[in-house]
Amino acid sequence: MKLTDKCRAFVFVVLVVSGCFLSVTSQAAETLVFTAIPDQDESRLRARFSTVASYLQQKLGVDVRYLPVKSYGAAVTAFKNDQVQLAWFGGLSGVRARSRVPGSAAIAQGYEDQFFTSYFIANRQQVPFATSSDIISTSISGLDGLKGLTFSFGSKGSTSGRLMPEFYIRKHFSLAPKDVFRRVGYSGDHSRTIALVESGAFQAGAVNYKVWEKAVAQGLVDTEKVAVVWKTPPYPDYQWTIRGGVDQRFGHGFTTKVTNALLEMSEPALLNAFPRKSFVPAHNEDYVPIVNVAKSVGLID
Amino acid sequence: MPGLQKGDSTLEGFFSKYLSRKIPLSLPTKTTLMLIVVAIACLFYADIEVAMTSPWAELQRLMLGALTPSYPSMSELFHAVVLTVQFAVVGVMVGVLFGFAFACAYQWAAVRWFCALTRAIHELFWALLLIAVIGVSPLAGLLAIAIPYSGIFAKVFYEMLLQANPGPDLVLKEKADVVSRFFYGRLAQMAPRMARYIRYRLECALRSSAVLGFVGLPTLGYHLESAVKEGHYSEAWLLMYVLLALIGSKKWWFNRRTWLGLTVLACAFFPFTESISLQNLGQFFTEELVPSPLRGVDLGGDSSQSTLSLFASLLFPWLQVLWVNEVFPGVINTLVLTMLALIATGVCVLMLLPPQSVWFAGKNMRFVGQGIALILRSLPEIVLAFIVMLLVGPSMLPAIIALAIHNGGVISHLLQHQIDELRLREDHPKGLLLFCYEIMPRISTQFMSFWLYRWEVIMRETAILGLLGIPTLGFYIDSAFEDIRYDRALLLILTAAALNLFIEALSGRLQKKLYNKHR
Repeated sequence: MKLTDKCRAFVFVVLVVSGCFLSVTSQAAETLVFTAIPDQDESRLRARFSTVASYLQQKLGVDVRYLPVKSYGAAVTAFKNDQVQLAWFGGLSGVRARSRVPGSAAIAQGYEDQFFTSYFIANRQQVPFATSSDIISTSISGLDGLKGLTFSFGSKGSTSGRLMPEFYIRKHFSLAPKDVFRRVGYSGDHSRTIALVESGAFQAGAVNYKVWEKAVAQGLVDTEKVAVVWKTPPYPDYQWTIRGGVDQRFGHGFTTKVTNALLEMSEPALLNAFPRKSFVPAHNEDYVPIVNVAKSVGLID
Repeated sequence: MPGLQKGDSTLEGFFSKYLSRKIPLSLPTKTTLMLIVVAIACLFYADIEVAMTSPWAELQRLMLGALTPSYPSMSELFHAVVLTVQFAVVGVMVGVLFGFAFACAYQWAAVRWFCALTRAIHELFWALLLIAVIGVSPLAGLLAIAIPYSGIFAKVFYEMLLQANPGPDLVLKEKADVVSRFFYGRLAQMAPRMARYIRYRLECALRSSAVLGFVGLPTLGYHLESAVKEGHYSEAWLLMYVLLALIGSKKWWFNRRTWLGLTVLACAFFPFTESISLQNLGQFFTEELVPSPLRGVDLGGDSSQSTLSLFASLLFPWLQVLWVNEVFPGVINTLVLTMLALIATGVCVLMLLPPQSVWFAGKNMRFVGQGIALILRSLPEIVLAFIVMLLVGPSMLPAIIALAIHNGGVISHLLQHQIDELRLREDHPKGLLLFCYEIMPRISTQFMSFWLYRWEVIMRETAILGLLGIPTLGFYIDSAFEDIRYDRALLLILTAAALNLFIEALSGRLQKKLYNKHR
């Protein structure tokens, strides 16, 4: 008995030691670390962004590493604390991050991000007016039927899953979401919003239209059960943001180099990680509408 | 029911007879009745609604996952296990060191209050705060465990040292210096009990360390959260089995012989300095923790009187808005959830207890009963709540169920030993009669003291369940962190801490009263 005790303890100690050796990572002098907001299936994001990291490493000639984070807030915090120098942000998280790091700039956005929209979805069984086929209208009175339902946003810090839907809800009803709906939830990410509305845990929700279309294309959502009932007018969304001061750290013209590497990304396998058709140049001024909306909703001071 | 047997068919008659007789109630009964009345009042404010139309499909997939555990990346799993153990071991040991130091100075009110404050804030909130200060780094996770555990160890060690027999100390008084008297007079007596407590705390720390994954530190909980959220139940179950195995096998790998070596190894390989960023430290304290209306206000120039009134005029509207929108509803929801979960925990204990005891269950039944209790108390309540939420939809219900079965598992485990050691008469009754009229009355004081002790634990845990969207204080704290508004987060965390201190004081008083009565 005593012997087995010792054996077990020994085996464990060996495991711990070897584990620790594995976890000690060699830290290169200058590594470009980037992150991305966890807006959909997190575990798959890790695999997808690792391929983006190796693409950037090859193009830029410096070590590039992807840092996974658990929340939109954590992505902004990592950028603010200089744990990451480059990030794939949503509209709101980008605005928040740039306001805290002087000199940081939006350098590229997806082609689709110039005119992004959010879909409002509803459970067909529980919401009477969603029983017919999809009613994608941008007329704001299309929101009327949602009053009194249970409603799920995405992450609390999401542009397409929270900020813009909340803005249009407030605009139409002149009430805060908690007064319009019977219950308001924050699912955490877009895929989860779709799953919650499909299962009936929430009667309606707001999602990023790209995530919705991808889910429909891949058969991950049963459109017999969930219908799109409204879509928002277009607004600017996701973008790559880089910290000020990277030129001093990684060499003159590094920002331009990163921008070009992103704009030149053409392999479908890489672009599918986002998922975007291509990347186009972006500037901080493109996001002034988001700043104004976020201020009016009270999400930034 | 004597009232009914005598032909009193109306319920009213039954009650009036009882009331007119004025049967004196025992103190545990009175306390329990009082808590139940409060909980019933809370029921009116509670948001308990089953929103799911078809939970069966989800439940089926959940069950299937339990039978087919798998994980895609073994190296990732291995890293997560190592980090979980490292956080727990190093965190507990640092906590023991500081806790011991604080215990020696615990007679000072300042130290007592400081320790009470550190343990009133949940590990997860410490983690969120520390991540905001020093970034997503292993050190943040370590401190998130070490800080609150220091406060807990300080209190427990101090109380243990007080309970030591003063005899040896008195004998040594004339012959030895203060240090020797402390070590040989008091510490030597209490060392075995302290060691037992540290081992128990390590179990809690493993659970805490796993839960830290929910805010981004790559322990077991990190992958568990993603897996449950995305419905990958096979992965989720494997991670839960690993956590259960880790906690269940604790006595094999953390014991008298191994603890020192394990601690040294865990410390030696702990990535203390990995990805820490201290450059925002100053800014964090001088700017981000300052209430937003006061930022950038010119301090100099005016006399102190007008500065004060300026501060008040700026701060008051900010506080008012926060109070109306977040603090007040958060406090109410936290209290309502706490009371309902407390009562549900009591019910859960009564149901879990008989199958674990020698008096009510055969060998096989006991094995099952104790196994279930082990599983229920080992799974972090945030994971349980997450799973129940998938089944019944979002409301207070999943939180109540999760808190009740987790804490019910803990208390019933503690009580089971007490029950089995009871000595009964040869002709003792069996079954329900034995349970209601022999066992329960005899352990009622113990039961009450464990139950009331868990009250504050439940309160602390209700706050973190806010991360799942139940609008307790934790929900608003999470929102504040998500919005990078640390001033609000701090105010809300301090409110939660104050509430916790209040419950701790209340339950402490009740426990003392019950204990004195009992003696």
